[in-house]
Amino acid sequence: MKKKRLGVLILLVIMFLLPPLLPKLGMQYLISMFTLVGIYTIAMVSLDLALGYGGQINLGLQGFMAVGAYTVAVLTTRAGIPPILAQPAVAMLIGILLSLIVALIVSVPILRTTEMMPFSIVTLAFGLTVYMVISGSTFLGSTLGITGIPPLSLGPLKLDGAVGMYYFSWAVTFLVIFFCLYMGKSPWGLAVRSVCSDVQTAEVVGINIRKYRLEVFLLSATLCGVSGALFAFHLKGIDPTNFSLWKMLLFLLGLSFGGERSIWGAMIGAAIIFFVIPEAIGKLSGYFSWLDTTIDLIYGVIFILILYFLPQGLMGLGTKRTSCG
Amino acid sequence: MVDLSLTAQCIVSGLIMGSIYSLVALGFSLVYNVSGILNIAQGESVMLAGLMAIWLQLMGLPLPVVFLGAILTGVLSALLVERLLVIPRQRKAPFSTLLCLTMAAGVAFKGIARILWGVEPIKLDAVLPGAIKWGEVVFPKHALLILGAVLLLVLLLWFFLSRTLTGKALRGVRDTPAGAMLVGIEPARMVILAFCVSGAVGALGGFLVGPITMMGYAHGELFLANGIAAAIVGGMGSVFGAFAGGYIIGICEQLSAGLISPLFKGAVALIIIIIVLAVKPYGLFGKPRSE
Repeated sequence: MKKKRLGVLILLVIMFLLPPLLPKLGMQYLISMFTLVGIYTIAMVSLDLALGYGGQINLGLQGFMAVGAYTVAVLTTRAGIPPILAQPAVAMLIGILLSLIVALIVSVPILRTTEMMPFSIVTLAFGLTVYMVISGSTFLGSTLGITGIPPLSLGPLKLDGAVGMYYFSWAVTFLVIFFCLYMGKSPWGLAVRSVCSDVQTAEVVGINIRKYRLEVFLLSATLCGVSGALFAFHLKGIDPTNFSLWKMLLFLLGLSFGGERSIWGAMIGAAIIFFVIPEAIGKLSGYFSWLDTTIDLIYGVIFILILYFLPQGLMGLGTKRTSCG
Repeated sequence: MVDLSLTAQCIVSGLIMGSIYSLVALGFSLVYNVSGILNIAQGESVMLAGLMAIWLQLMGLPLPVVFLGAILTGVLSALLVERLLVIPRQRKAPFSTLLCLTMAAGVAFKGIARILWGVEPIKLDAVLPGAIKWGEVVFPKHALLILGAVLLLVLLLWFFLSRTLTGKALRGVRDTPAGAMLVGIEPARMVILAFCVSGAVGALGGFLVGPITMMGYAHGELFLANGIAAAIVGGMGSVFGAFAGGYIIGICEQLSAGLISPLFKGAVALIIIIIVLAVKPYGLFGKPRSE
């Protein structure tokens, strides 16, 4: 336990020192990439919460990210929005709230799932239809998306540069991580895990299954809203491809790298999927020009190989997993 | 006032799009029912078959060759996904791993399409060019072909599933896997068959939709989205449900785009899903699996 705490402390110190250190090494561009890893970590932690703890195969999480991101984008860039709502910080809160509300609405049909109409299919349809909405609606910029999102600010406080955004999003990410670690160990987390691993026993000992399913669903959707809102502020421009099913595949793969039911594993998975692999391919494409056109095929083949040979993920190499859901 | 001819026109295009959606839905739910796998690469199979058809036609090959090429592409791609899942299924890999594998296969298909045909969408020439005009409503002759083909397919599938031994075995595995094994049906072979049928049906969709919308390497996800929506609305179980779901989504989508606003065309499918599932958790024509 002590060792783990020390590890976390060292990690925090390193993360804190990176922005002043990286420019000295001539790797300033990495700061914004690391920010992105932090933002994706939030989404992956929420997937871990849903899948690893709650046993819910939610294939629509990228849809909730899209709700958060597009709300921020519309509120901060469109004319005719009341100035108070166009405040970036306010827009972010509304974005998060809206993803919670959308989750509440879709939870009505989604949580009434059965063997013939499983949760995974309905959430898959949700994510895909959100993608259709954003890529088909001219109001939301259709395939071009929305650009020109201002930096995150609250009154005079403004997160202008890459460094400010780095600190802010990682602060949020660690907040989410610690919150989820705490929740995972709390009675709430234990109840959620019992629903996942043995529904019947859970029911017999008096756990309200529907309540916990709903809560896990809402929590993970809201966290994805947080991730989406930060994503919009960080990239300043979003388009539908950011929220396609492809993103969901990356999340699932990242989680399988990190090992399910491991919050820190989710962070490691995010770093591998959204930093190590793209960086490696980016570096290699400098040498091999054919990499650009074959990128989708290469990704597909890499992922198939990973799933074939590392089905338990890197963190799962030594541990045996009990599967549920 | 509601414009009658505009409404009719929307219904015509809804029927066309609905046909395609129902074909994807049919393949998707068939595979799920027989094997318990969500084949997310299904949309990409449709896209590959569609692009293959266009490519063969551009090379000046006769129509039967184009048609066969498309169907073969669809079947082969579906079969490839099935083969990919054999070892993980034997290892009792969790559902999420199988799901990721079909997704990764879909990405690989997309990559292949991108290498072979580039990123620009292309369009197929209509097999039956021209249109029938009825007042102000334009009814493309190609739409007749689509509706005819879909009708023929429904009859064929119905005959296959309810009159032939193989079809009955397929249904047996779907309804009671253990019982099917007891009477000597090998589920593994039925899974292969289900994938092949879904590939062929999807390929037919890709071939038929070619002349109507552009086809590009990134279009697979849209086919999948509408197909799954149709499968859910119709209820995952039945052939009839898949078609009903496809036409409901197709017609509602076109009506809302034509009469209300094209702004939130994609949202129609989502709204229909939410309403249908809130009222009927098994979908419109779905039944709970009997114990």
